[in-house]
Amino acid sequence: MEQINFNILAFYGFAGLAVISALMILMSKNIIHSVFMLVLVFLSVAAIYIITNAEFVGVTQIMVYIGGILILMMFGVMLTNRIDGGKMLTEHRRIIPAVLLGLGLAFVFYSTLQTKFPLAEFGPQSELDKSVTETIGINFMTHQLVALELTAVLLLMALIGAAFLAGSKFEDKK
Amino acid sequence: MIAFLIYLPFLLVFVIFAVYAERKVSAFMQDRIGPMETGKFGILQSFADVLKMMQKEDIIALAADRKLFLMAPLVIFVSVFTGYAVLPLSADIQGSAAETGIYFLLAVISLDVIGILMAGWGSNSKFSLFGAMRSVAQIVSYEIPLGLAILCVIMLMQTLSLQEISLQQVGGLGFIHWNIIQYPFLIVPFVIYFIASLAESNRTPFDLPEAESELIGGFHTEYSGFRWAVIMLSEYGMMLLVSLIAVILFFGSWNTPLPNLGPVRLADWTSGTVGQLSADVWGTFWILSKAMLMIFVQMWVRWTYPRIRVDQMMSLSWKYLTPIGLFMVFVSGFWKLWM
Amino acid sequence: MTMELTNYQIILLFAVGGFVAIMGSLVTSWVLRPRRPNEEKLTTYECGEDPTGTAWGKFNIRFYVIALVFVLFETELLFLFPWAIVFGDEGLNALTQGKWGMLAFVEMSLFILILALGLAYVWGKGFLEWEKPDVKVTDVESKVPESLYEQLNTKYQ
Repeated sequence: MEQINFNILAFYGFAGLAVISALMILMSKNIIHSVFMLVLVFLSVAAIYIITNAEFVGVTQIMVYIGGILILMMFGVMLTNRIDGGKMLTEHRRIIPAVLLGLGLAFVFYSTLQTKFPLAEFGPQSELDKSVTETIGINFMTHQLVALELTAVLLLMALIGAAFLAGSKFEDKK
Repeated sequence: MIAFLIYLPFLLVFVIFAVYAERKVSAFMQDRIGPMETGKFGILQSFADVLKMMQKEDIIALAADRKLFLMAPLVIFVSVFTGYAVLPLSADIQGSAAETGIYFLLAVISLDVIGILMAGWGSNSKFSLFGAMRSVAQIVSYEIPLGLAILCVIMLMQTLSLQEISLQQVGGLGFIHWNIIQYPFLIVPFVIYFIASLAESNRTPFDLPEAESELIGGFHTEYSGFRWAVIMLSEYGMMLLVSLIAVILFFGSWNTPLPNLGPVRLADWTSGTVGQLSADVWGTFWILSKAMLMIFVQMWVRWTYPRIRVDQMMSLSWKYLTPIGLFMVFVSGFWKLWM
Repeated sequence: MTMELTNYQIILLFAVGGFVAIMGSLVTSWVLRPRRPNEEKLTTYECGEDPTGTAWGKFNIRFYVIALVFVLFETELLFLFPWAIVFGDEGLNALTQGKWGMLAFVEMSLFILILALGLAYVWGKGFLEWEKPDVKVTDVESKVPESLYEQLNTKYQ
């Protein structure tokens, strides 16, 4: 009983942290600060995954999103910085469409969450003798095989596409 | 809980002595005598350094981005230290028995990069930013071969938990049960792992990010006083972390290297009784002393090889280590299924 | 007092504990250290000159490409890990007379080969090439004859 209480507490703690840091991203004018705040958002989301027993997904979230995609975003921001330096500031434009979009999204979420909140049970502990990660592995090899191989092709396409796009920049430099 | 109480003080004491050892080892290799003034054989040198750094003024350049600058050392240290949570110390002592074990470690190591970028960008110094960029490019490049080398061991052991990997290397024949002896081809992944781990901890010959002769101090150029000490602490913490992982994966973890030879029960004598204090003490002793040996090798490499160039660094990772790593994954698969 | 912590609570303990330990020593240092800033001290280091502009400028796009290649390979790695712990599963192999391991191995080989193709592509396109320094060989007219150098080299071999 106490265990579950702690989990619920941690869930709300991390969810709150995620929301607050996401708001800070919006409020912050310094775009670099925004990117670094994103670390906190991703970390809290990873923590929520872990609390709900999706351990592998949580760690993957840290590894791929923080260790990979975020680095890419930081490089991206740093690359597009103006040559004369100075702080890159963001500004608020198109407030009305943004508010409408936000309200629409909130409505979608609200209507979805009218059903029982799926995370409330904190994920079933694996009933098989296999751990969650092993189950994921077995599923990759059996039920999700096509998806897995397609992922490989997708990654290959992404790699070639990105290399192609960056390639034109490369040529300029030479 | 116990693991935390052991690792935190151990790390702090280790760093103090590692800095001293580094200076003595380098002195020995260069035919000097190293620090001699503070205490007998200069043994108190590092303590004096810590005392000095405690009292140094903390300078934050006006142009720096204060928030990022102040946060960065903490982020770097915490991400390195969190990695220790999943390492076992003996059959009974382990911080967290998280199912994802080594995979979690890989993820945490990549968090370190964020701190380095924060430091580099926050300093608003050209040297810092160049150092940070190089450091990040280097760490991410070597994470792939590192992951592949670890994967080879995981494939043979069929588990991600570091404690289970350790338990699979238990046996009465001491070092014969170590992974590197049981699966001799693991020597290749080990070499890949070792090179990549040097790069991950920014050690010579991969110290381009903080190349003193070009970049002053790399990403920590602007840091002074105790904040700098924290960054240094993290670097040595990283060295110890990668050494411990190497010991666990390849060199029998907390198991004794001595075999039982007939009536001479060397392995039994040096393993203690499982479940009792003696086993914990022996296990901790063996894993830490093996890690110290690895640290020594890292220092040896540092004072033997010159720094490599940036293009060599990139081609070593992507054109040699990664393809060889991929190949070794196939070899491990074949071995596991058909041997 | 014995408290059973779950695995991730322990990890949290390590993170928080490490943070507190460092904060503690930083605070100690804060109490001890002097605070006498002046303008010179607070300038950014640039070899003793006054710094020109800020450091926040553009830099080589290669860093971005490397990070991109990394993300894709990292994604590959994450698929390999769950596979690595089950492809040799003895229970499943016994159940299927060894076919499971073979099947899993072949499937994953395909996956790895597709991505190796990507590596080959970026390699072939030269994205993994970093700029090499131009080695300038300068001819020096030396009055010392070559044979003397030879003599010295052989002497200290």
